[in-house]
Amino acid sequence: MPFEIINQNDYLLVKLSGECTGDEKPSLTEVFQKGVAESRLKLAIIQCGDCGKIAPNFIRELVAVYREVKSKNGQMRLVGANDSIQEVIRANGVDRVLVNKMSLRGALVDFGLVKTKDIDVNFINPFLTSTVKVFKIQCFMELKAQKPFIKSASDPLLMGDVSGIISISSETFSGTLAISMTEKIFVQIVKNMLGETVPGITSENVDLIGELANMILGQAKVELGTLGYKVEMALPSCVWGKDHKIKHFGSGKCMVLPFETEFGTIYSEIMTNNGVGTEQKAA
Amino acid sequence: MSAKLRVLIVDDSKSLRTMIRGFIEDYSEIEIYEAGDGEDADVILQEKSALQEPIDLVFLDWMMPKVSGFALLQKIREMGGIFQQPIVVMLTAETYADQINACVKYGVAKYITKPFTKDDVRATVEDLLVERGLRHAV
Repeated sequence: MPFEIINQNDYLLVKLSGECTGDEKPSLTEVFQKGVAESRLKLAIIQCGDCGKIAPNFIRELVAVYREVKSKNGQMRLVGANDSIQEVIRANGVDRVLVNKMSLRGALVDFGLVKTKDIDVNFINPFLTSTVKVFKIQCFMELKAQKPFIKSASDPLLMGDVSGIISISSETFSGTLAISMTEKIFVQIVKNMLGETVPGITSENVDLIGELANMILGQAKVELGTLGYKVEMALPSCVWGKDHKIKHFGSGKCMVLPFETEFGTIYSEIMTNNGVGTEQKAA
Repeated sequence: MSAKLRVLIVDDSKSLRTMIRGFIEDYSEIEIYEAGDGEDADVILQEKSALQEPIDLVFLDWMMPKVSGFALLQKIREMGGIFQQPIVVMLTAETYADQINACVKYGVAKYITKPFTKDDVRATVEDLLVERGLRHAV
């Protein structure tokens, strides 16, 4: 069957896979009705990430599921529907009914199961692992993660002489990631990566730190995706000079992740418009 | 068959272009070209094709100003007639499966995510050198 229904305690998760034709026996509607009767849940998420194609007939099934949910005063969301699925939904005139969210988290926020303003601690871990990985593979440099700390949102000073900054956007938050280091470390990285000994940071080589920020976010977003954060990337920028500053988006807390290297400390700053470091379920 | 394999490195980061060049410039059988964005790369591709010295292999970054790597890939694949299609390898920090699938749809030979190793880049070039008869398989 191209679908299975999983009771997630707060909601029913309907996982679609492969191609859904609408000719399945038993039908999605029948299986779903049974799931609702057994669980008494009235929230449903239709996970479409592994589903490549939906036939117009299957739209009838999804609408029947929607009707079932609404009859219980519940809610339903689709998650991760690809362009072709969304096109079939639009063509059938039900795109305001079968609402698609980019991430599971986005759907949970709609259901009130997760507060919009909260970011979980696990959010930080992908940045820790991806930073260590990028520096090891690309810069041939071993990093040792130190204890993270909170920096005042009103403190615009970055910790190093040169920084790469990249904006982070998702359905539930926006923010910035900055990677910052001393000139001494930067010169060593240029040497490791390009085989060149340079006297310092110049306009010719500074783009390197922006690329590192880009790679760190690129790696982190894979793990963030598994946590329900679908993150979009932007072009990185670079700033340098003593006491250079950053204007982070939003007014949340700024989490600083220090990493020790044999040449000194590298800092990664993550700030979101919603703050970081706490996760609460809605009451 | 080309006398030499022509490789175009497209990345908005000059440092990364330098690094990739450093990984492969010891091959005597290749010529290396560089572009800092999709527009410049498009010019090089078309010029070299018109001169009947087509680019054989493109290392293409995804996120670039002006014309993105993906937009350039789409444009390349839409070009027909006398234009000679290169082999395209995406070399990008973009890691989502749907983005990778989108590139595969446009005939990307390989999708290398950043961070990448010297071996990742060299293996691609070596495979092509062998395929073109410019180097024997080891």
